[in-house]
Amino acid sequence: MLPLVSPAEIVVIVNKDNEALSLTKRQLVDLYMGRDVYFPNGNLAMRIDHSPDSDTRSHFYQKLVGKTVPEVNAYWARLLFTGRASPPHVIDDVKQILQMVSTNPNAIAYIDKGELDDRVSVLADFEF
Amino acid sequence: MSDLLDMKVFFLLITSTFLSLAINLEVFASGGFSDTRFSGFATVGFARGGNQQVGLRQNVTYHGEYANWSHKTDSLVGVQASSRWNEQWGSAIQLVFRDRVGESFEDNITWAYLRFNPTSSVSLRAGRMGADLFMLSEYRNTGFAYLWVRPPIEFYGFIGFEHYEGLDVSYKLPLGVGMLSAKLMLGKSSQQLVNDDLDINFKVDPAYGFNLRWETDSVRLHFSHSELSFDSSAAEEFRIDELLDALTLAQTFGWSELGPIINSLDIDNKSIAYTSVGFAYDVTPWVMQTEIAYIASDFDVFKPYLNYYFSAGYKVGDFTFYSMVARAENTKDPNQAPVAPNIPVIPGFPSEQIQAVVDEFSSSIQSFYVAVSIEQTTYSVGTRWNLRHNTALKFQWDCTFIDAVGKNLWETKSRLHEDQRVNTYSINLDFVF
Repeated sequence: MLPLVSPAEIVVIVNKDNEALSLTKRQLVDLYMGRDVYFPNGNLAMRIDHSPDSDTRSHFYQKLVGKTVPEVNAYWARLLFTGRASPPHVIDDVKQILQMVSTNPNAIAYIDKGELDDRVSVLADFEF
Repeated sequence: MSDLLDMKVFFLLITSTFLSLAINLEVFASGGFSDTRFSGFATVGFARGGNQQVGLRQNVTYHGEYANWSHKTDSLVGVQASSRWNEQWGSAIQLVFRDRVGESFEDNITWAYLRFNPTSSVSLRAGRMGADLFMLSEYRNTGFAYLWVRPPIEFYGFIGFEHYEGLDVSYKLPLGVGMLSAKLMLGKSSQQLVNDDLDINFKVDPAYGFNLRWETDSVRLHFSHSELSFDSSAAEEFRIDELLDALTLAQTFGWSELGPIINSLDIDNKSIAYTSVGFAYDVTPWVMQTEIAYIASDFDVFKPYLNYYFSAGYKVGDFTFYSMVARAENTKDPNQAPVAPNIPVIPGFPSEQIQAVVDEFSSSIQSFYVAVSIEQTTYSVGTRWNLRHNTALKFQWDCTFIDAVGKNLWETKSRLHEDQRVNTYSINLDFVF
């Protein structure tokens, strides 16, 4: 369930080398829902998710596809256990997420705007 | 491929998967794409269905449960290791442990395949893979991924195999607001099943098929067509050879009507074709799903089947309340065995005994003709409760009306003399890990 208090604003982040990357919302949905896990330049995206219990994750998927975390996980169970796609990597700690995105050219993640630092680039189109 | 070779392929894949795990954890940390994931799914379920005459089973590869609370109908555990070696190559294995008619360890291996992605939109796989006949076929063991306690038996209960060995190639492209994917499959399969109290090793070779899917966040459309040819052992496995021997013997004694029947029992080079269309819709608070399939064979004993279901659910918070109606039927009546000839009463001749044998013989032919007949309808209501992000608790009540002849989705020990109405109560805890 969504928390009653609206969480902080969420931004989608990528590696500095990917600063010029432009994604439509549809492409972001395709990445995070496993329908197309490649960036427009053909590189395989390293998608990063928060812990299943995190409010940030709950808010992100509610905004992205209008589904709760259990619903998204049921969706992923179908893709994962039919061999069609693997879900994003889960990293619990925001500092580690920032570290991973800053060191991996093809990483993509989402975080609370307040956690941002200058080691990563923000995809300006996706401020939830 | 021999069984021995199958096992070699399996162990090769296991070894390669573990080796890649050992080397790739560091690669992931440094920005590479090699990684191995271990995951699994499980159901702890209790169901009470059937009665003293008909045994509840999810499909023909399970044993029946006769009016007792049983964990065997739905409980299972599945484990999976999928490995990406680099941007193009990978492998996966999956094992599912559950109640089965087949008793060998190898039956538990549902996947063991190599994958190659020459481009981002093309995927080729070789090895053992999930049979992808209908919308839920590939994930029917993963209860957490669907709404009900089990896929509707009227639709999925008659499918005797869950995997095949062979090749598939799939291609996907964006189309409109969704993603279109097409898949071609070629291979062979064998699985142990029970039909009309006979243990059968059901083999198909070759099996081929294709399917088309179009998916958005809220809508899924699915079309598939598959053709499975009976292996040369089918006559023996279905006990047709025994029946043919007896028929041929009877024919030599002058029962001339048996000629066309003998021809109708020729199963060599015959096949079954499955064609289906499915639709699913999921926009909170509504969730709907329906499939319809037509299954036909050029083997004269298998009359065409029409199977369909429709399910609608309404979400309230973490609960989804749903109902479903499902039906399976033959669109043509089974063949009729010839009426046994009247043996003339001649003093001193054992006419009565011979008449009894001939009558029994006619009855046996009729039993064989109806051994694959199906006609039943189930009405279901249930609730899915998402307890946690990876756990769901489900309750379901089914009321099934079974035609006395079309009883074969259930395990039975003897012929039914009247139609049945059977209630099934189920409680399942599904989770993924």
